[in-house]
Amino acid sequence: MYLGPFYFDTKEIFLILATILLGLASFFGWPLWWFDRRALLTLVILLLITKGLLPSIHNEAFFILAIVAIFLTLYLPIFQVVLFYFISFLVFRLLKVI
Amino acid sequence: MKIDLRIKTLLIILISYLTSILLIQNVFLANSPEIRPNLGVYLASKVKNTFNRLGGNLASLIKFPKNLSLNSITNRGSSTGSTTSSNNTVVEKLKNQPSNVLTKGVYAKTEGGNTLIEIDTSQIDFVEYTFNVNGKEIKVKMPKDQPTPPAQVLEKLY
Repeated sequence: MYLGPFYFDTKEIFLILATILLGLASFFGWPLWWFDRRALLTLVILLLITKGLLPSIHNEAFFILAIVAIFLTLYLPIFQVVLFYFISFLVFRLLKVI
Repeated sequence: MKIDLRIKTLLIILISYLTSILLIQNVFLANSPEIRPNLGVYLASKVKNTFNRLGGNLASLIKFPKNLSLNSITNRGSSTGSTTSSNNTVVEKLKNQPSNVLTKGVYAKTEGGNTLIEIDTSQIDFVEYTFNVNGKEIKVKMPKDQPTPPAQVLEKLY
């Protein structure tokens, strides 16, 4: 789908929708079972930035990384999850997986 | 080809997870982006202690008598940290035994399957950390090779 000069695929639109929903949940104080709203919002913003910075990205590896990182927010402090995400992302790029 | 890529992806994720644990425990302070101020000294002491521990383990293996049975090893393991016998004479006997150095400031004395561990805090190198817990400034002393206590633990303690 084209929005002005930008092209968005389905996954990107869903990711943006999720971010908007999380932003609304954070703003209106909607409860989310088990998950920390702030941690999720921070992570989704990082996902958007990293996805947006890469012209061609391997969607499957990125999807697995995103799912694992979101799941880890249930158990680990947010700083460790962010650290894990950046290390994984760096190694993915170095080994040309994404 | 596709399976290879998936295995590679999972391996990278696993390695990254382990690396993040290693960094959190050794490089960063209390789950924050703040880097340990004494990082070089801390890592050097950690490496040194690991080698000392490995050396101690090897030495203890070499010193084991040949007729040592599995039962006696189990007894030694279960009695570490305190004397299991209620008889005070056992403690007295242990006190007269020569000490084996486990690590700097930690000594062990063994006699007849019982073990006495002695800790001399004046010989252990401590690192002092200052934390802000619920508006209170709290100072915590930790042995040099130990990881920093997590903020959640401190909040429960103070």
